[in-house]
Amino acid sequence: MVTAQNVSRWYGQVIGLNDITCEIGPGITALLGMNGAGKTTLIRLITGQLRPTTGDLRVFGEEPFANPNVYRRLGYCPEIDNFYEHYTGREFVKFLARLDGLSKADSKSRTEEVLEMVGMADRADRKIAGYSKGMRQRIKLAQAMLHNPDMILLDEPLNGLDPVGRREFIDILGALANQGKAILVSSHILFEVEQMTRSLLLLHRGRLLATGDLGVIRSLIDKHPHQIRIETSEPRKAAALLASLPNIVSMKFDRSGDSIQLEVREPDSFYDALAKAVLESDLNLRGFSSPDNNLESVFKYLVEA
Amino acid sequence: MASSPIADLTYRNYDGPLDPPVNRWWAIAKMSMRLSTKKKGFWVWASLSTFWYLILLAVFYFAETTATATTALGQGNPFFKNIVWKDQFLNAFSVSQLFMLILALLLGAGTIANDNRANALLVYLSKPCSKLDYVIGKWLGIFVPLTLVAAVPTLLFYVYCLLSYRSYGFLTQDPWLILRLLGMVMLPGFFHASATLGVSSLFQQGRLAGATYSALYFFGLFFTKAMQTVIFVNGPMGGESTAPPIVKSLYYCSIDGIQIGLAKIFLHTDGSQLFPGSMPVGVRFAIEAPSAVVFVPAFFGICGVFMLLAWSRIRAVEVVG
Repeated sequence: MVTAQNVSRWYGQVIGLNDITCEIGPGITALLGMNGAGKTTLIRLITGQLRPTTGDLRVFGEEPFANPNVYRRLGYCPEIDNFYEHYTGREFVKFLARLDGLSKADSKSRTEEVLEMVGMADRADRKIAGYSKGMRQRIKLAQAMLHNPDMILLDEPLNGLDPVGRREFIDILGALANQGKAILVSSHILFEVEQMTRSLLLLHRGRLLATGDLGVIRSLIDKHPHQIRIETSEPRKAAALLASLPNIVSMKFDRSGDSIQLEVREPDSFYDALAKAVLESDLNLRGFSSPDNNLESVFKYLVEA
Repeated sequence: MASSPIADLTYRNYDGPLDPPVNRWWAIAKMSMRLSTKKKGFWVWASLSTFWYLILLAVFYFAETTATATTALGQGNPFFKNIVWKDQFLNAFSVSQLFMLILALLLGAGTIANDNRANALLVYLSKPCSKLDYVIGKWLGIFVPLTLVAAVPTLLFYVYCLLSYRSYGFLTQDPWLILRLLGMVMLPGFFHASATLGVSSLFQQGRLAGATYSALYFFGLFFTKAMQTVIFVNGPMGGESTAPPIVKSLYYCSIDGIQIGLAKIFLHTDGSQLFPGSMPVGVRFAIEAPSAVVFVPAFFGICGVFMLLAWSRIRAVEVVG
């Protein structure tokens, strides 16, 4: 549905996207990157709000910039949500249904339908100004689904949703993907994305760092030593135990003396072995954390790789 | 409907027709107008803008009731015999200019600025509507309400005069008056819609855009009044002013000046005193109409520049911070 060939986008002297080549097809694809990575720029290029400075971008085989034929097949759920505070949710969605090209009667019935789908039908007569972040996310999704688009782009859609709402939102995206639609979701939270899809585009400082299956990217990450911190009241006993486990690269005691810093390869197999060992030796563990389990570390590994 | 926040996870496709991507501007215009008419201020200022017609009605009523004796003798009411009807419309139009400005600020100052601030353009322009749809829609969203505010009292007053004063030459003085009036009532809407749209596109806050447009208006008004003083100082009472012709043209170089000048051109009049007989005979109250050759293109040129400015400034840019 989307093909990008060496696409770059400059904002004056600043580069927003740098030589991106990728393809996006049906199903959920996550666009992962930290703030300023170029996620929003890529989404705006696909939605035809920006023109690539160099390279070739095609959406449904056409150039998307200022192309209503492409817009008609896209649904866009932007990150921002502070628009039209004085409209009610129902008015807002209905207005955008008219902009999408639905007739007056259809826009009314379709508005009710999508509001019900996102669980806002009973709250849509309140002004948007009084909506919570989660309600705004739902209204934005509703307007993006109005005209049955082939592709829906969502910019940080899970921001502000509570865990239950998040789960439900992910489920509805899954339902849309099962219909054969392409769903592009941008996020900067790896954990969030893992719940949604295995297909990733990883952006970092405007460059496409990795693309493909999450498992492949994970294994690439796992080849690098992974930092793990273990807090215990018996550090020496713990160290003796841990030294016997596979994949340990290095080990050192904290100055406070109640924790150990480890570097391990293949962390998943290490975690399995650790759990077993702890149970067998009755080791007293107070805490367990991995400072590397964040996106920044992922990028660091990938850049080094 | 279930009580769950997301009730139905089954995605239902819309398989109805989608209109081709034309006339999106009308959806934008309608939404803007609906928003305008929801504002209390719109109705308050729109009502106040009719006050000159109400004064005229009161004056006409008193002129009729106090002159019944002469009317009874079959000589007709001298007040109505001397009246230049189209000038009454021109006067009402001139007097309503300030109210039109206030309405324009209310409806137009924030029209793009607030969208810029809220990043609403991201949503608009990701739909199958173009920048042109957006500009035209927003323009109509200001133009239509302003034109209606100017047109409704004007046409009501026209109908009242037509029914009441045909014997005093209301229809025979200028049979085409209704068409001229229809042209005149569109002027404020046309100018203010274009100008506020252009100014609004420069800002990300409606208040700043409004303040800038007000400053433009009052600066122009000050200039106009200065020119008026020059004209009247050089032969104010009766005789033709000896001020150079350029001064008379400069008199119309302001936001309301250009509209009044064009209204004079449309109505084919230089204007006259507010009430007939309120000035000594021979006194020239009004400043002659400007040159149509210069002012008609100037009017549409200025409006075009503002529209072009708006069009060039509109882009889906996210406000940072």
